[in-house]
Amino acid sequence: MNIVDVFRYSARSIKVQKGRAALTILGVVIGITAIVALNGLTGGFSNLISGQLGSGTGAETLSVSPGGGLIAGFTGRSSGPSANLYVNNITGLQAIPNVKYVLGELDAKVSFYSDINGSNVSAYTASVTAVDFATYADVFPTTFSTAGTGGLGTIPTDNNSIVIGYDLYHPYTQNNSVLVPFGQNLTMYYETVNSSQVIKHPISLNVTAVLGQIGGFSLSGGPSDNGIYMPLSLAQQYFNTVLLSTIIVQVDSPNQAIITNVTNAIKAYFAPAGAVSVLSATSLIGTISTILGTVSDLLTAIAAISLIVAGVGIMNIMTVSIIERTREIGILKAIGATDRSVLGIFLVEALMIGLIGSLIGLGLGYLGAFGLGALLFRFASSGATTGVFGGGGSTFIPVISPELIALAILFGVLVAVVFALYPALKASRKPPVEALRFE
Amino acid sequence: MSRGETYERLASGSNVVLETRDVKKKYMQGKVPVIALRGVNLKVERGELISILGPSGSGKSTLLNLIGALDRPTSGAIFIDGEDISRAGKNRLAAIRQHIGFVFQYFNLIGRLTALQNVELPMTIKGLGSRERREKALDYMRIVGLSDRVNHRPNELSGGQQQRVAIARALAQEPRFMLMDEPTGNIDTRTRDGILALIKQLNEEKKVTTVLITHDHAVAQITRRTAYIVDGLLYNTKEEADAAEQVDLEKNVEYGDLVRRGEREGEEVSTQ
Repeated sequence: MNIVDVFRYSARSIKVQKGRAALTILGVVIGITAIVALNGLTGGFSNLISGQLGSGTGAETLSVSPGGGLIAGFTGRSSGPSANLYVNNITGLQAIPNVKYVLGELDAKVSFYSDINGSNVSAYTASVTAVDFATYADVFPTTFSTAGTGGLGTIPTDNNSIVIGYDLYHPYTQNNSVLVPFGQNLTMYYETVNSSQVIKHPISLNVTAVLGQIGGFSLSGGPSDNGIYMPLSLAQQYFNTVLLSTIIVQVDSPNQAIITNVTNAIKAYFAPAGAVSVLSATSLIGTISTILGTVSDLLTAIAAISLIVAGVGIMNIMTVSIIERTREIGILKAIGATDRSVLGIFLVEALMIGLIGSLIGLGLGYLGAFGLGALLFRFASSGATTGVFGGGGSTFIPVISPELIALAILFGVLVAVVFALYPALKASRKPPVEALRFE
Repeated sequence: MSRGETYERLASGSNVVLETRDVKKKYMQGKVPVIALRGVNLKVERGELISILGPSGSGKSTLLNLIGALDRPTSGAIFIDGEDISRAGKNRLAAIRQHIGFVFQYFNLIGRLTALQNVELPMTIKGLGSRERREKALDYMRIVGLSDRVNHRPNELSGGQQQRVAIARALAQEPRFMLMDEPTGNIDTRTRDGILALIKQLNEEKKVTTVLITHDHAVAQITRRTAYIVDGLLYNTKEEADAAEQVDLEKNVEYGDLVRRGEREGEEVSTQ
């Protein structure tokens, strides 16, 4: 029997048992949909995070923060030695060989009032990053700039002006209303608590620049679309502190050995060991990718279990179907079909079920990944102006790679064929005399 | 028998299509050994139409399975066109069956295929191209008189029509011989004559060698030669068969019950 005829024959029997075949196919569909959707989502998520973290920061940018840092926070190891970062540490760190720039950052929360809807004046909060503008522009030349999409004005050189991120100005330009006006004074309030009383400290500064769109958020201390930037010297007076939140150190070479040396030197400067953590965007992306990879593997494993269950279903249905078709097997053999032909007919049936299921699953998984992605994206961006994922321009795109497509189809077909193998072998080995006698 | 001998026999002009030599068949029915055939000798020549007549339990079905290459004998030899198939492997038997035109009592058509597709099936198995298959199948459908029923499914056809489709399918095997098992056993008497006439006509006009196995004397009457099977043995005349039956009765062996004989002879019984 040639292969085309085997396919034709098997297709006919699937067509006759439409309902049953549909249920079998459904099992495969569910498994493959889950695998494709989950893999596509985690892949897209991983890309989104890498993209946002990586924007504007390279391997040579190190971020120094007190204590165990972000990763320690993730793992719950929050106790331990912790150093304070002082403004005068900047000069100290500058002395380390291969260090190009040292940038001190002071982060704080402020509130301000805006009447973007014309009538309703409401309070908004934003994070202020206080930096030396000149150094900041040196370290993040592409992102701390008004040259990009939507950038306005010029980065000020005086100590009495502020710069705002793209999102604080642009998404609200409809109806000629903006969240933070450009070229005018913005009055911000910084809150302190003094013997159970909240004191608001106002400051009014001119908005002289709007950054071009960045499209990411940065854990490495780089500019973001929803930040407010203030000169460091002014901020120290305003917030009345000599402490820094983060120190950004830029190394003059992307060479890994040099970066490691500088990292160790920074750690030694802030003795004892563990008093500060030094992270680069690259290492952070690596850590997050590892975590996401594990999550992705776990989800895939769960989806694979559903596919195995589908395989058992296929085995079950094939067994029943073969018993029902015993006489047909006998007839085929009586007119000269070999064991191999009979085996081929049943395996091809399973193969077609697997293939149809995989293709449908692939389509649904693709739609599912994009649908869920859109849903997640909307959720994230609904968190108003300071939303983490809300940064304009960075969209969530699920990753359905050709490898994923090939693997999904292969896996679906393989499960179907492997589970059909035993019943199909049993069918093919039925002695013709017995098969013909079967009522 | 080697392949060389096979061709020698054919070359020597042997006219024997089918031959059995001292064929014995024992099998187990549960735990009880049954001797179904006790040494059957049969020769069928090319172009012959022969009926094998016997009551149920006489070993008829067992003989059919053996000469149909569906099963192997316990001992003895079966020659089809000079080739001993009694020790042939599974795949060889399947290949031999491709050239044996089976016609069954219950038609054994495949329900989801149309009449034409059923007729095409043996040629599909042989791997013929689809156009050639279709042309030949249409021709066979015409021969059995069902040109106007090619796209009907078996359940849309009468019993007689289904058996005609089955005969067309057997023709499609381009058989060395046709092997018919009670071909009219499931058909009303009025339709029966038409089927029998077709069988006779195919034999006379197309020279199709036919072995017709039945318990029905009326059916056996259409053939020039009739062999009788009684209690696992084959007889060439009715007289011999009757005598054998008589002996059986005298020995008080229940008709068709061969179990006691198996035990009495104490022979080793192989299972199939």
